[in-house]
Amino acid sequence: MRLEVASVGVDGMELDGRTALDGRTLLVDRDQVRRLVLEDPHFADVEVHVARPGESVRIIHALDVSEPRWKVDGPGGVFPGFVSDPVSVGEGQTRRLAGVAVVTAGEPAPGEPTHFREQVIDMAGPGAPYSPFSQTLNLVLQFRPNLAFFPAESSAPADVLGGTPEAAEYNRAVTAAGLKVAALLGRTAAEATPDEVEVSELSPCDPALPRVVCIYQCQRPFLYGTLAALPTAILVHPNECYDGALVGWRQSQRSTYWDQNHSVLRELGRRHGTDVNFLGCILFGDITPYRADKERVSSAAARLARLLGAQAAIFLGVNGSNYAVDTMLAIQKCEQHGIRTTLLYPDVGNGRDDPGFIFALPEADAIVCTGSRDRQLTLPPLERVIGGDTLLHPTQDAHAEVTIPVRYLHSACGVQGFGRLTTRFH
Amino acid sequence: MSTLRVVHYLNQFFAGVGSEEQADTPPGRRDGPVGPGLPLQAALGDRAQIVATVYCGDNYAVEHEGAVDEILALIAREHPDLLIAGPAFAAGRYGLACGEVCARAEAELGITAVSGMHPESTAADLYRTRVLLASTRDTALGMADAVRAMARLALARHAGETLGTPADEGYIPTGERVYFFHEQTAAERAVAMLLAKTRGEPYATEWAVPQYHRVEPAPPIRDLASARVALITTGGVVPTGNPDRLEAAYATKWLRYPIGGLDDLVPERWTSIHGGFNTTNINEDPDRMAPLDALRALEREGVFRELHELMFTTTGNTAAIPTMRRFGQEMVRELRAAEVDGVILTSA
Repeated sequence: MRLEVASVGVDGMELDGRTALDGRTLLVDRDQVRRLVLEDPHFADVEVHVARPGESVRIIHALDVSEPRWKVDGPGGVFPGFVSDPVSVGEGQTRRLAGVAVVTAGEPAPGEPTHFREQVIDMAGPGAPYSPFSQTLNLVLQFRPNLAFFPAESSAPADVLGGTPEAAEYNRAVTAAGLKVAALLGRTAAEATPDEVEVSELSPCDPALPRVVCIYQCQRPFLYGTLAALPTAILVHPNECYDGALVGWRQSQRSTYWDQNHSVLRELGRRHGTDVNFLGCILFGDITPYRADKERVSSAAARLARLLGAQAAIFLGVNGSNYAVDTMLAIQKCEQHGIRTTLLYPDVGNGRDDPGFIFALPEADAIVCTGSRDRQLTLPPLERVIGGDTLLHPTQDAHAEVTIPVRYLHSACGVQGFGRLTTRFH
Repeated sequence: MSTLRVVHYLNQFFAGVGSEEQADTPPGRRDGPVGPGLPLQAALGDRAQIVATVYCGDNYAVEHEGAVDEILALIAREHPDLLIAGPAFAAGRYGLACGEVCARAEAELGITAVSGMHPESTAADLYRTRVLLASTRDTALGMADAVRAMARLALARHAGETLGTPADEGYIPTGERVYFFHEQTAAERAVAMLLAKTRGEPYATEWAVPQYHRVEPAPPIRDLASARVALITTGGVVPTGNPDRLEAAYATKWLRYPIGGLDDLVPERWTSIHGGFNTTNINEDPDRMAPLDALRALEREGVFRELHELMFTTTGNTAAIPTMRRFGQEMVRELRAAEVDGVILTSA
C-alpha cells in the first residue's frame, strides 16, 4: 500500500470571490463555504473567519481542526465516510495544503456537557507557542445550531462526554461540515505543483529489524464515517490516517489534523526498513466503567500486537478517568508477553504531591511526557475574539486577560508526537 | 564571601549520647561538629562552618509534644544560615524528625534546610516534596557519600542555584515540575527510547510512575453482631450548601458530620458535590452514595451492634495519593479512639 502525500505550500489566505490557489496564496469564497455548510439543516448559520499566525486573535470554543487535502490518484477520496465513499483509502497520491487548517468552533449545543470541551487558540502572545494551530493559516467556521433539532424536553445524556443524542448528532454535523470545507479547499491543490512528496509504504524489509506497532488509544473516534467503539481493537495502515479515515476530536487529546499528519506514525514510517519493521497502527479503547470492560479493552490491544508478532510498541495513551487504567493494563499485558513499550502521555498532576498519573503500573517504565495539562497560564487580552465571547470553565470574558490550564490550548499536550512541550520532574 | 553558619541536627545515637536506651533524651546541643559532623565539615570545606550540633532522642523527637519547638529554639539561638539534618538513611523515627525539623526550620526560621535519607523510607515519602533530601543508602555504610551529597546540595540551595535532575544531582525527587520545549519532538524521543529499550541499551524515562503502597486488608470482624461500624464516603456527600467548602476535586480536607439521630440522608439536607461524575442520580437520594438507610436497617436487625455517630466524607476525584494516605491515617486514629471495629467505605 503506497501513498504519496504531496505538500503544496501556502503562505497566505484571503477571503475572495472565488476559491482557488493564487501562487502561494489561498483564496476562499466565503459565500461558497457558507452555502456548502448550510446544505446541512442542522445549522441556523455559520460565520467564516480567517486567523493568521501572529495576528492578535483569540479563537475560543474551538472543536475539531482538519487539514485541507484532496486525492488526485488512487482509490477513494479524502475523509471517507464524510466526504467520499467509505471505501478503503491510503493508496495513490493525496495533495495537502501545507500550513492551512480548517477550525470548527461554536458554543456548546443544548444538552452538551461543557467542561470537557473548552479549547482556545491564541494566534499571538504568550499562549501562541502552546497550540500548534497558532502556526497555521486558519479558516474558522463558527456554527450556530438550528434549534429545531433539539426537543423542548431534554433527553437524557447518552454518555457524559457526548451529551444527549441530539447534541452528539449535532456535533457530528459540525465535524462533517469542517471536513467538507477542508476538502473544498484541498481540491485547489490538485492542479498545483507540490513542493515536496512524502512516500509512505510499509514494504517488506530486513526480518532482523525489530517489529514495531503503534498502539493508539482513541476515545470513540469516527472511522470511515462511523462512530467506532473499539473494545476489541482494530489494525489500520498509517496511510488510512493520512487520507482522513480516522476523524474526530477530544480535548487536547486528538484532532483530525494530527491524525492526518500523525508524527509518531510518520516517524516510524520514515525509519521503516532502516531501524524498525513498522507493522501498522492498532486503534483501541472504549468507554470502560467496569473492570470487565477494562480487561476486554486492554487484552484486545495486547492480543492484536501479539498476533502481528510485534516485539515493541509505542503507546499513545489517555491519562484521564477510566481510560488511564486501560492504558496501563494494555502496557502491562504487552510487557508480560515480551513486547517492549514506550508511552507518550500528558502529566495531569496538580501540585508536588500529585505524581501526575490517574493510575500507573510499574511496567510503564519508558514514558515521554507531552506536557502538563493542568498547569495554569495567564494570557493577556488579544484584539479580536472569534468563536464566542465567554469562556465557560471557569466563566471568563474571552476579550480580557484569561487564566486557563494548558489543556485548553488546542492540542497543546497531544500524544501524536508532533509537540515539543514537555515537563521535567525535579 | 563570608563563611556560612551551619547547625547540624543528629539523633542521640549519632550525637554519641547512647543507643536505644537513650531514645528518650530531650534536645541538647554541643559546640561544633560531632560524629557525622566531622566528615560533613570536611565536605563543606571553608565555605561553611558547623557552629553547633543539636540532637534529640528518637522517641522524644516524635512522641513528645513540643519536641520540635524545643529543637527549633536551640537551632534559632545559633542564628544559622543553614540547617543540615542527618543523614537518617532508612531509620524511621530519626527520618521523621529530620524531615519535620527541616520543614519547620525553612518555614519558621527562614533558613535553608537539607537532609539525607533512603528514597524508600517512610520519611522520604512524607517530606520529599517539602524538604530537599539527598538520596542515601539504607544504612550508615553510605555515610561518606551521604554527607558529601548533603553538603553540596545545601551549599547549592543556599546560593539559589538551579538544580539539575534528581538523578544527576543525587537528591530524592521533589515533585517540582520544570516546563520547557524540547529540542526534539515527542515522536523522535519516543522512537529513540523504544529502540534503546528493545536493544537492551540504557534509556531513561522522562517521568517515573509512582510506587503505590500495598495495603494489607484487615482480618474479618469475628463477631459482627457486637461490632461498631462507621460510614465513610469519598463520594463528596456533604450537608446541602457545602458549609465547610469541601472541594469537588483535588480535596485538601476530610470532614465529619453527625448522623446519630438520622435514619436517612434526605436530598433536601444532603448533596454530593463530587466533580468527577454525573451526580444527578445520587442527589435524588444521597443514600445511594452513603447508604445510611440500609445501615440503619441492618443495625435494627442486629447484624452489627451500632453505627458510629459520625460520618466521614471527602472527595476522591483526582486526589493526590499522599494526601489521601494522610486522610486515611487521620481517620483511623479517630476510629480507633472511638473503638470502631469496621468501616463501610463507599466511593464514586
